[in-house]
Amino acid sequence: MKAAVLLIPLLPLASFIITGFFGRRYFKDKSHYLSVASVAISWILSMYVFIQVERGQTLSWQLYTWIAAGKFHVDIGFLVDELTAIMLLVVSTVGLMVHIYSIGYMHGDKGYYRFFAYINLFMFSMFMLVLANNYLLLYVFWEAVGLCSYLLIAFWFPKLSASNAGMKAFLVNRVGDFGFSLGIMLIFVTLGTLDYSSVFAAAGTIGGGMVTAICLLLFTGAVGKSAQFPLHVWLPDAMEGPTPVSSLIHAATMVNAGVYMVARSSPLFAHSHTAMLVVAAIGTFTAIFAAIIALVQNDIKKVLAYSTISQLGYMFMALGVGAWTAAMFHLLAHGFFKGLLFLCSGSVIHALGGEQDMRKMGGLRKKIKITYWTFFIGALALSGFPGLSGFFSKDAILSGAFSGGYWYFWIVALITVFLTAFYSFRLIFMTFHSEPRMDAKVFAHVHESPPVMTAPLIVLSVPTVVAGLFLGIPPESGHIDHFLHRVFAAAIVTPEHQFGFLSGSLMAISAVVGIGGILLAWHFYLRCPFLPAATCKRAGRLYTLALNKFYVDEIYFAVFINPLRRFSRWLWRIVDAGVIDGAVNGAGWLALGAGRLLRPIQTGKVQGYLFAMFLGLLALMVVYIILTL
Amino acid sequence: MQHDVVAIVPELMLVAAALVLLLIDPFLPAKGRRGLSWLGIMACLPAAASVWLARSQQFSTFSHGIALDGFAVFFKILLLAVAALAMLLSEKHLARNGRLLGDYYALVLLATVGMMVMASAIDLATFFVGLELMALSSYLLAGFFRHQLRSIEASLKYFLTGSFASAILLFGMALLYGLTGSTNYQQISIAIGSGSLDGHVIVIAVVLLLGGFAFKVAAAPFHGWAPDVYQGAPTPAAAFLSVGPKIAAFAAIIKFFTIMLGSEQARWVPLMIVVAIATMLIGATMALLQHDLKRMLAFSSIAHVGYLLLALIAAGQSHSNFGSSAILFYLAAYAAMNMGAFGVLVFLANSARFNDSLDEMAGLARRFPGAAGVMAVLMFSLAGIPPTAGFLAKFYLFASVVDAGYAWLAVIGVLFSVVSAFYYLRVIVYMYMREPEPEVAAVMEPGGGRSWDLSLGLGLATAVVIVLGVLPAPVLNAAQDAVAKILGS
Repeated sequence: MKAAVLLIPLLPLASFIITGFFGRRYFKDKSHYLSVASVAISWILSMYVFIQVERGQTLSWQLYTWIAAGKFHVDIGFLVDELTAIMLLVVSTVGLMVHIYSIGYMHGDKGYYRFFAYINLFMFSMFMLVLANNYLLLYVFWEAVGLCSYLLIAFWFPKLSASNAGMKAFLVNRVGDFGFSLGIMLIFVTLGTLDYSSVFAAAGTIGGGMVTAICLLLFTGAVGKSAQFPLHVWLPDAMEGPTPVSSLIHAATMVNAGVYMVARSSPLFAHSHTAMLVVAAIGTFTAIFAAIIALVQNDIKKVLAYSTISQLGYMFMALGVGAWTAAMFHLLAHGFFKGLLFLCSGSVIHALGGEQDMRKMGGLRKKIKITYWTFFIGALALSGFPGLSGFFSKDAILSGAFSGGYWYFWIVALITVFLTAFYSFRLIFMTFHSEPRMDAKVFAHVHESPPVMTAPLIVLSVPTVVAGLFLGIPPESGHIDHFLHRVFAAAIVTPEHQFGFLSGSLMAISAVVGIGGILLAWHFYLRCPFLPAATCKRAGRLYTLALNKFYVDEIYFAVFINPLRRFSRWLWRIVDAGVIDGAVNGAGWLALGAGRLLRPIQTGKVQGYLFAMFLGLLALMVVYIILTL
Repeated sequence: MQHDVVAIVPELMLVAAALVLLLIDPFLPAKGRRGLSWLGIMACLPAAASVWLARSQQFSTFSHGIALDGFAVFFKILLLAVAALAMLLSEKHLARNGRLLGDYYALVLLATVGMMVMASAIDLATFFVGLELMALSSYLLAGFFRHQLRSIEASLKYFLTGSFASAILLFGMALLYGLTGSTNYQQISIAIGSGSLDGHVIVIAVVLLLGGFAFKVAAAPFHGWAPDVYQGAPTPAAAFLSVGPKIAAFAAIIKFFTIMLGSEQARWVPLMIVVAIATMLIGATMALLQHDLKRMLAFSSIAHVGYLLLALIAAGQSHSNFGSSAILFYLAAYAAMNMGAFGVLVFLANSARFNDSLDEMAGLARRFPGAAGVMAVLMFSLAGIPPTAGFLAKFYLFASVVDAGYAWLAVIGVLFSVVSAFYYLRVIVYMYMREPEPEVAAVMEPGGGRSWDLSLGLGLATAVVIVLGVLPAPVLNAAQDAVAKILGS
C-alpha cells in the first residue's frame, strides 16, 4: 500500500517532467502517450488503495521531516483514510477520462505537449493535496493546483481574455488564501503543530473564540478555491480555458478542494457553531444566487460554471448543517456528473467548430446522438431526477438540513432544486431540441466526436447513473454513510436515525420539485417557445440583473480596485511629487545649503527627501507623545 | 569569550584582497581585467571558511568592541555570499559600460567589511566605524558609472541623504552614551534595564535611532532615496545595495532594539508599528504604479522591509527567539530572490538595449526562455507562492507575529502581500503572455550578452530560492541557533 500511495502522485510528476522537457522537440503529437499511461496507472493504484481502505486498512505515514527547527516541525507525510480514498476515486477517475478525452479535443493544438505536461502537473498536485497529512503541505499543494489552474485557464493566452481570466483567478484566490494562510498560522501558534491528527486531537482544548476564528479563516480559503460568494467571480471567467480543463479542474476536482478541506477539518468546525452557521449560510446563498444567474446565461459553459458554483454551495450548506457525509456524497456524485456535462459541452462545441452560444445551437439531437444521450443523463442527474446519483446525494443534503432543524436552508435549497432542474433542461432543449439556429453550412458540418472523446462520456455516465443506487440506499444509512462514519465520528452532531416516513416524504417532495422544473423548462422552450422572451420582458430589471451576474465584478471594481488605484496615485502625488516639494519650496529655511549644492542637478527631490525625514522624526515624536498621553 | 584577533580575521582577508585589487589594477591592460572579479570572489571563500571554523567558539577583540559570536557567524556568511553573488553579476555589465575596474570589486569588498563589522560590533564606536565604511563605499558604488548623469545623481542623493541619516543615528547613539556612560552594548543594556534613567531622553534617543535605522533599511518615511538610487546606480551595484546594507542594518537593529533597548520595548514597539505599517503601505501601493522594473523592485523591497519590521516587533514583544530567527531566515531568502531579480535585469541589459521598463519584458519568454524562467521563479518567490523560499520565509515571519500576540498586524501584513502579488504576477504575465511591441522586439534580439559567471550567479540565486523553500531546515536551524547565541547570552 505504501508503494501505491507513493506512486499515485509520483507517476504524473515524472510524466510532467519528461513531457515538459522533451515534449516540444521529441514527442510532439505523441505527447499524450506517457501522460495518459501515467494517469492510467495512478488510477489503477487509486482503485487498489480504495479497496484497501474499504477493507479497513488506513495509512498514516511520515515520509520525511520537512522542517524541524525548534518547535516549528512539519513533516511531509501521507494520510490515507476514507475521506482521502473518496477524493482519490473522484480525482483519478475523472482525471483519467479527461486525459483520454483531451487526446481528441486538443488534437492539432500548437501547445499539445504543453497541455499534457500541465495537466500532469495538476494531477500530481491534486493527488498530493488530498494525500497530505498536515495543513502546511495541504497549503503548498493548494497553491500548486491553483498555479496549474491559472496556467491552464490562460492556456490560449494570445487571446487577451484568456490571459486576463488567468490573472483574475490568481488574484481572487490570493484573497481567499490570505485568510487560509492566517488560519494555518493561528493553528500553529495556538497548538504548536500543523499535523492533522495532533490538531484534531487537541481541537477541544482551543478556546471558543479562537476556534471560531480559525475555522472562519480556513473557510475563507475554501470560499476562494471553491468559488463561493463573494469570491465566485473567477470561476465563470475561468471557462476561457480549454473545456477538458473546465471539466477536470473547474468542476470535478480542484474546486472541490475547499469542500474537502472543510470536511477534513470537521473536528475543528464541530467546536464552533458560529463557523458552521456561516458556512451553511454562505453555501445556501451561493447555491440560489448562482442558480438564478445560470437561468439566463446563453454561453453553454457559463451555464455549467454557475451550476458548479451553485452545486458547491449545496456542499457547503451540507457541511455547515453537519451533514458531513452528504457533502462528500454530493462531491462524489457531482464530480462525476459535472465532469461528464463539461466533457459533453466540449463535444458540442467541438461539433460546432467552436461555437459556445446556445442561441446559435438547436436541433443537434439527431446529429450527435452519443453526446446527446450522455448529456441528457448528466442533466437528469444534475436536476435530481429520481434514481440517478444526483438525486440521492442532493436528497441526503436536503434531509440533513431539515432534520438538523435548519428548515430555512431547506426551503432555499428546495427552490434551488427547482431552478437547477429548469436551467439544466433549458440547456438541453436550447442545444439539442427545436430547430437549428445556426448557418445551414455549419449545421451540415455537425459531426459526432471521435470515439476517443465519446468513450469517456459513456464511461462517466455509468457512475452518474449507478453511484446513487450503490452508495445511497437506504438514505442516511447507505453504504457511503457507513464508509465515512469513522472519519466524521467526532463531528456528527445529529444522531443517525432510520429511514422513515419523514425522510420518505422529503424525498418525494424534492423529486416532485425537480421534475416540476424539468416540465416547466419543457413548457417554456419546447411547447410555447415565445414564453421565454415574454417572461424576460415582464421580469424587467430582475432579468437584467441576473444577466449581468448581479454586477458583482463591477461592484468590486468600484469598491476595491478603482479606489485602490486612485489611492496609490494620490499617495504617489504626496510622497513623490507634490506636497513635500511644495512644502520645501515654500519653507526653504530647511535645506538652503543643500539647495545651493544641488542646483546643477535637475531635480529638487533631495530636499524633499531630507524634509520628509525630518518630518518623519517629528511625526514619530508626536506619535509617541500621543500614545503615552 | 576569548580575547583574540581571530575575531577580525575574515575582515582582514577582505581588506587585503581589496588592497591587492587596488594595487594591481593600474598595471593591468584593459583586457587583462577580465576575471578580476574572481580575485574578489575567491577572497570571500576563505573568509567564509574562517567564519565557519570559528562558529562554535566566541572571540572578541578591540577591547570588546567587536565579537565573533554565533549571531555574527550567520550574518557574516550571509553577507559574504551576497558580496560574492554581487561580484558574479557584475563583470559583463561593467565591461559593456567601459568601467571594468578593480576599484569596483574593492569597493564591494570594503562595503562588505563595513557590513560585517556592523553585524559583529558590540560597541557603539566600532558599530559606527563599520556603518560609515559601508555607507561611503556604497555611495561610490552607486556613482560608479561616472559618465552617466543618472548614476552620479544617484550617488549624490544617496550621499546627502545618507549623511543626514548617519548624523541622526550618531546623535541617538551619543544620547545613549550620555545617559549610560558607556558605549558597550551590554553595559548600556544593563544601565537602561536598571530603570533609573530619564525616560524622556531615552525616548528622544529611541526616535533618533529609529529614524537613522529606518533610513538605512529604507523604511517609510525615510525611504525616498531608495527608488532613485536603485534606478540610477549601475544595476549590479543596485542588486548589492538593495540587499547588503539592509542585512547589516537588521543585524544591528536586532541588537539595538531587542537587546539594548529590550527593556524599553513599551516605548519603541508602538513607534515601530507605525513605521512598519507606513512602510508596507508605501511599498506595496507605490510598486503598483511603477513601470520601471528597478523602481518596482525598489518599492517591493520597501514592502519587504515592512514585513521584516513586523517580525522585529514580534521579537521585541515576546521573549522567545521566534521573531528574531524569522528575520534572519527572511533576510537569507530576500537576499537570494532580490539579487536574482536584479541579476536578470543585468542579464537583459547586457543582451540588448534595455531600459528596465515593463513593456520591454513583453514576450521575453520566447526570446530568453532561461532568463524568463528564472525571473518567474523569483517573482513567485517574492510574491510568497510555495514551494519557494519566499513562501516559507513569509509564513514563518507572519507566524512569529501572530505568536507574539499581534494577529491584527499579521492580518495587515498578509493583506499587503496580497496586493503585492499583483505587481509580481504582472511581470510574469508580460513575459509569458504578451506579444512584444515590434520596435521593442527589434531591439531585443538575443545578443552576445551571455557570460557564464552571470549565469552561474543567477543559477545559484534561483537554486537557493528553491532549496530554501523545499529544504529549509539547515538555514532555519542556523537562524534559531544564531539568535540564541546573540551577545554571548
